[in-house]
Amino acid sequence: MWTYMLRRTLQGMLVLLLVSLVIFALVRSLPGDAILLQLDQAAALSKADLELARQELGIDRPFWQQYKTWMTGVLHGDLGKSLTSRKPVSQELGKRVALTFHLALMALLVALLIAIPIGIASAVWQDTVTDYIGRMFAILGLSFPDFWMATVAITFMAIWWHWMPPMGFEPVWIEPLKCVEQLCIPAVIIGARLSAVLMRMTRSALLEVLREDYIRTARAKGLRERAIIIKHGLKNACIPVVTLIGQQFSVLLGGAVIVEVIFLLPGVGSLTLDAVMLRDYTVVQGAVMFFATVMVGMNLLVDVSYAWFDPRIRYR
Amino acid sequence: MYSEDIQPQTAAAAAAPRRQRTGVWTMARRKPLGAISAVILCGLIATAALAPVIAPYDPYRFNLNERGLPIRLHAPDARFLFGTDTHGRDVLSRIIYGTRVSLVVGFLSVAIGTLGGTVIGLLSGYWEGMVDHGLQRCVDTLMAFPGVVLALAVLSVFGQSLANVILVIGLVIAPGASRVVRGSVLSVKQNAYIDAARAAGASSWRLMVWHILPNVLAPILIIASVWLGNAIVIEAALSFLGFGTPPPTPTWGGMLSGEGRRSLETAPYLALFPGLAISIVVLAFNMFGDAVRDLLDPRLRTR
Repeated sequence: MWTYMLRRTLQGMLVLLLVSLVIFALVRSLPGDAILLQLDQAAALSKADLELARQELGIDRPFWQQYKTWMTGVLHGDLGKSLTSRKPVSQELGKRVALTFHLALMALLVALLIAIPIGIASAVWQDTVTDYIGRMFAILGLSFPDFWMATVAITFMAIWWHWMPPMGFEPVWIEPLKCVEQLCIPAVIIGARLSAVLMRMTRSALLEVLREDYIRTARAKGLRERAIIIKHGLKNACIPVVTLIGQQFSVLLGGAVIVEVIFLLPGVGSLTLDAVMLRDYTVVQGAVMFFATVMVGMNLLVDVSYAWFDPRIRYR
Repeated sequence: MYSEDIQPQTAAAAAAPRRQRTGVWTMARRKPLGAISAVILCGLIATAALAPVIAPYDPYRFNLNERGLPIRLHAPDARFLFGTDTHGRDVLSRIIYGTRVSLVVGFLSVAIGTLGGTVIGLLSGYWEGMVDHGLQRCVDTLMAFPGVVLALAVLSVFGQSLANVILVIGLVIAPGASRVVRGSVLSVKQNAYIDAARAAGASSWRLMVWHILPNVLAPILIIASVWLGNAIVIEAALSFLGFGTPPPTPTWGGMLSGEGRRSLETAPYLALFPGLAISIVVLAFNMFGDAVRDLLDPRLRTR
């Protein structure tokens, strides 16, 4: 188990290193730079002044030197300074990571609350009206793009109910009511799509498990149907569902990017978009490293959880 | 000695003979929803091909009133069935022409993505060891980026154009596709006929292309049909964020963004119709993908 974890962690670090190289190269190939886009009066500045400004930010040095400086900083927990706000990137990110995590976790909660019961019902009453309604719901959920639902939701809330989600984010442990009020609609929108994917997986995984011999044994020894489905069926159907949650986490964060922009939520997603537009290299790098770390961590967590769900699985 | 090597037949291998018997009518009878979605998709392809004939107006023209001013935000009526946008262009005609971008991007990006994924998956699954490790870490790297952020960064670097949008969506699809193909290759490789072919002196190249590839085709087709809907949503999302096919080319995502979005309170139909168009196409692709998966995947067939 521990050797397996160590190997997977090392692999994860290698992936993060590759991500850092790719994003570092990618942002530096964006046309224009922070100085040109930031200063309206850039045209009025002389070439020498522009060079001086670039020198101050350190974006005039050769690629590898810049990378080395940045990477040394990252390894010491310093993500550099934003090229636009001049504040430390970790400070900029810190404020917004909380919101994005709130949003992602709430969306995941919404998705699970919808997907698991419907998935179970759909599998238990296979090929009945319940099953058809459940599957129809899932396929509909997949077909409405989140940015469209978000746009429509915002417009109609404003027109019909004259209600807008409150501005300015507060974490749930400080102002729980405001936080939920602010994030519930975006979370439902992101969660709806995820729930459709998860429901389909829950249904097919449970169907597969319910045909296993040990389920027949459980029935034969006279266990109640509910106990069979929940204790014997569901726990064993969890592996593919959990794998899917791990894979879909990137969809969750990606969906968060667009929904954050539409709902004007100050999360990591909207920060990243703004930073790409403003060529704020350090912020883009920091944000992408955040996303990548979450993804790598999620996948590791998912793999480790297999052993808990299925004690037959042992890692070597 | 071979008997021990024979694994339960994979989904792919078992599906091959079955496929020949699934004619159009058999499919229509067994999968009515799949058949309906196939009809919708044929209709969409016809719409895209015949756009100039079907569209009531030129999608780029600013329709003018008697005084020579653009008919801005005209509510839907008999003359403009879906109304006009902020520039006085006919929304229905723009949606009809928008079908072209969505379908072209959908089909081409999925083709590129699954082709790339298949090549990587084949190489990675066939040669385990260093090649596999190297390729899989590259796939991990691509998968560690949130799709939207990767797409935006790449599009900002290489510029916005239809071709780049297609390539970028292909890039987003390829890693996931390669994983599926790799998994199937690993299981197909266990079959005795692969050993037999190798013993008969087949080269690695020949084994991969003639013996393994045909047997992993079913899962590839399944992911491809499932991804078609996703690709169209990604295209629409990119256009919505202003990174898709540049204006004035009509795209469904583009029609939902910018001025269309700002004038939503006065003209809600501006968001309604392009959004519905996206949903109908994606719904049709999803139902079609489900039907294809059920027909090709024997494990799901009885469900």
